Amino acid sequence: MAKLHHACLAKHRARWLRPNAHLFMRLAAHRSVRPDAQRWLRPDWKSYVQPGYEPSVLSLLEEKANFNPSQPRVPKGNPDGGQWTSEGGEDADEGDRDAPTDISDAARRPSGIGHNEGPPLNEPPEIPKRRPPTAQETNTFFKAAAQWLARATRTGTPVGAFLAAMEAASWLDTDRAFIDAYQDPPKTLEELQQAASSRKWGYHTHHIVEQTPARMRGMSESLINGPDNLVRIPALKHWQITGWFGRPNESYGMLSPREYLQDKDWGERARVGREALIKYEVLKP
Amino acid sequence: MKRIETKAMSVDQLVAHFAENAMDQDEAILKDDNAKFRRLFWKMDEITNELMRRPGDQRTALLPLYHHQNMQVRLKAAIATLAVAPQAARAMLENIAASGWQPQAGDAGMTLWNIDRGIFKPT
Repeated sequence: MAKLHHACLAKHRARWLRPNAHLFMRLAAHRSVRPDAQRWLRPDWKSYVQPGYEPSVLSLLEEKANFNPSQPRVPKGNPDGGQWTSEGGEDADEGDRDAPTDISDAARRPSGIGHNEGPPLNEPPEIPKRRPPTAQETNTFFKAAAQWLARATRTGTPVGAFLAAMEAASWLDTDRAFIDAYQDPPKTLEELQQAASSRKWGYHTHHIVEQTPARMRGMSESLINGPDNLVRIPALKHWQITGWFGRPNESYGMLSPREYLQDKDWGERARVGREALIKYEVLKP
Repeated sequence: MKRIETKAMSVDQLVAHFAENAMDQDEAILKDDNAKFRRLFWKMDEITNELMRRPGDQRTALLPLYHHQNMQVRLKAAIATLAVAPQAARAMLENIAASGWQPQAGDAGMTLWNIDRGIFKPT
């Protein structure tokens, strides 16, 4: 069989690789690849090459990545800020920029947000090399990372490089669960209630009706800790909702929701608690 | 925190301070600093009241903040203008709620829910 022309070969090589293979290269410091790098190749890559052709994974990745550490990036403040920008590369790279990444799903993008209508997505938070010295700093990083990932997924922004960088941060090994749990889609009330019977790292047991204010009001312990009131939800969502309960709010006459609910019965507390779970995208409407 | 003299400020200055405070609020939310959030909340309330007192109710000057780069600024601007531009403000809140940009989406959704239930009547 005639030898393929170089340009033609390059185009075909681009087809063998998963859309986000080049992100792996950015982490791989350009020259070394992990032993499991083969997983970045499409499972059916051999159908695109001549029988017996066995290129090295590294060469394929380099071809695909067209990686250049000095490649210009879109300036900060721009809606595409931080992303690699074109410097006249192959047309295959152009297509990949818009390709969905592992956890990106274009179908989940709502109409009200995006490059044209939503605020620009800033650069992802810097991943500390070591665990931050205080719990507050650690939690702030978890929240920033989780929120950035969720927003990036919504807007179709590539997240592969950030996920790979998190994988490389060994101190995050177990606590990565906090960030991953935040990405959960909303679930039914039954699912959330059933999950409350067991514990899982990255999740918290959440009281739909806040327990301390209810207890202070003399409400029954069987209601407060009853199965109807307990749900297991992502810990970071739990903090988000608890934070909302404690902050002053125009729509509650400048009171916090917690203050507003002080003289309300169980039913109203449960309605507000359930609605907050829906609006913060934990519970399916 | 430096005390601001809202009475001596121009409308443009008030709008700029409003946006600045909302951005600080965004950071306070991220850091779970509710004390700072509260201080900023009342400062922004003071700014909104000062704009309302100006001839012609200058809260409408906050409308351009719907296009601000920060989602907390957009949220606070929408809430502050509900009485002077109800349709536009509601549309903005609906947009934020549908965006999934948390935690502002949750806050916007709850605000709309409270309007619809008659608990919140913007004035």
